[in-house]
Amino acid sequence: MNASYARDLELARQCAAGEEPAWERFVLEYRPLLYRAADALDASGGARDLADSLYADLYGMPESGSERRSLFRYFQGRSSLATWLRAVLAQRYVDRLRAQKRLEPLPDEDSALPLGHQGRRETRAGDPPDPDRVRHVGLLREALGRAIDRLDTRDRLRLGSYYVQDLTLAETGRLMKEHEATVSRQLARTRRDLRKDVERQLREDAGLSEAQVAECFESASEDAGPLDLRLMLGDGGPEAPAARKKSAPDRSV
Amino acid sequence: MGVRKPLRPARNRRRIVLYDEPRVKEIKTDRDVPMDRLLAAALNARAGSATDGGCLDAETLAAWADEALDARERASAEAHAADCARCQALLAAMVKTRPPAAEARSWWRVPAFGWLIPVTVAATALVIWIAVPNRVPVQISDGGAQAVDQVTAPQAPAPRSAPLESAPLEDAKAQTPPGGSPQSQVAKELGRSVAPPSVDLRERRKEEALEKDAFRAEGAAAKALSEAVSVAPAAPSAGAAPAPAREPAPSQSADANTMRAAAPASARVSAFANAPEALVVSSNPSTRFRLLRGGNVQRSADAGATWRTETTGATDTLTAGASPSPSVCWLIGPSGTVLLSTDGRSWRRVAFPETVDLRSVAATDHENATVTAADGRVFVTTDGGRTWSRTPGL
Repeated sequence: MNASYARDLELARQCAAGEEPAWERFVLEYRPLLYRAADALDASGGARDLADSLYADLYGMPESGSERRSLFRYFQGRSSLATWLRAVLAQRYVDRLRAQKRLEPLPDEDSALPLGHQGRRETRAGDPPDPDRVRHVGLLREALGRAIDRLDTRDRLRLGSYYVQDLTLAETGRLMKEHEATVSRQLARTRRDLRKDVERQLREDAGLSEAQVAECFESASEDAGPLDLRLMLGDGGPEAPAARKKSAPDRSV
Repeated sequence: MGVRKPLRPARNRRRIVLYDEPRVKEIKTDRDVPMDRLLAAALNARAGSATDGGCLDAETLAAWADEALDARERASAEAHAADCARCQALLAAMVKTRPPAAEARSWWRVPAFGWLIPVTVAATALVIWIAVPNRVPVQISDGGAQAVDQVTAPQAPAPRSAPLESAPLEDAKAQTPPGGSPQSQVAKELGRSVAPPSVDLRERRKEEALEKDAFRAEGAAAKALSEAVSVAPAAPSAGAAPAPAREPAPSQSADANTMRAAAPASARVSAFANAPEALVVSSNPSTRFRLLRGGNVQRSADAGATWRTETTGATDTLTAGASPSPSVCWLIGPSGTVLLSTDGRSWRRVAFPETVDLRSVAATDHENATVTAADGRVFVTTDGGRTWSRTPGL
């Protein structure tokens, strides 16, 4: 075990045992760190209450009649105490966001449609549905799903970090332990492979001609479809995710 | 007018991603934009549907961030996170809450290694100073001695018992023969500089001052010699020290200068009266002879680095010698002792007409030599010592 981790583990043990000097030292050293992490998660300060509640759990406020049980007892010393605290805070923050998302009502079908020129939602009610277009988009999505299935685990994680979590190249690189240039090349390669795989599936498996394959992509560009969770969550525009810049990590949780 | 072909794209189309570039910036085709949209949607749907539990706990998440997971644990965690929206969000939160890393600094910029730079520079300078001899000749503004001192010759290996500062006039003359030290003579003959081994400028200037003093003393010694030579033979006692130069007459000085000029440059006279040891440097300075107490001789063929003792057969300490070439050496001593070597190793006694102490010798080869006795008489041989004649007019 890393020597510094061992010192952290000893501090956690002392704090869990209720030793006041250790707790004072912990508050002095780690409270600013925890608040900085909370502010990084929510710049408006919405995560500070999570940090405060975390302190209470770490101290192990005794409930009525029960013995004091500190959260420190879960720290095993596999990382630094500071990183472990960030992980616990991230867990609580993400879980709270996910719980909030579940409680939000889903928008009705019309509200998911893009706004028209007059600020009204364009309705397709009057337009006769184009059966080929729906079919083409469906084929494209199915082919893309299969292509993603065939990807390597790291490629899928890299894609998810970049396209779903909206991490920057540098942040994705830190997560994947890669240089950002490597991340950029790998993302470009993966996207190129996916497109080739999708085109091949459309031609060979679905039996589409080259013109029909082109129509598939054209249809997809006009309508991302109801499966686009960004549109469903209401915080995404019709532009491509790559055109958007950094966003809060809570948008996809 | 022909149709110009469109320019082909550059051979290497791969972009180099610079630091802090947040997103992939590639020229997208018409199919890339819908692909991006579909990809984001598909990944979202996929991640949202994969909720089979087994998410990363805080311990594993923290160990991932601190790179404390082993390869198997890491692969397992990546496999889960690749299809788990919650774990991807956790990992993203961990990345975003990561404290700013200290600026990456090159190892030599680390303060702990900062002292290495001046120490390395100083050590390098010291090594160069020690290893590379200073070959820059020093120009002396003294017009009289300029020709001699332009070549900063190393200090000749002086007799240990006769330091330059306290040497008598004759010693000074012996150590600094006409025209400068033997090394400077050779250097002049070779037309190139002979650098002293790593002496700093201040020491060299001190040496040059001493050398000039010796050069001036040489003139006085020559006068003394001429005085002694011109004096009528008065049968001095054996072993008597030469008469000190007092006030030589102009004519005597001229005679001495004439004699000195007559002596070939390749055969230098070395006289070490009362010196327990004397050094005879050949015309090739790498060959030199050291006269030991008791009549023996040491010879060096590597400029004094190593010496080999040779027996001459003489029992008295030899006083002077002349070596016109590395293989030829004339040695003289008390009581008319004259030795000659023509191979630099074996010595033969040369018959001398007088039993008189001899003081100096000059030679041009193994046949011609001029010997000056302590009483001032000068004897010349032109046949290797078989016959001697007194120099007419002296």
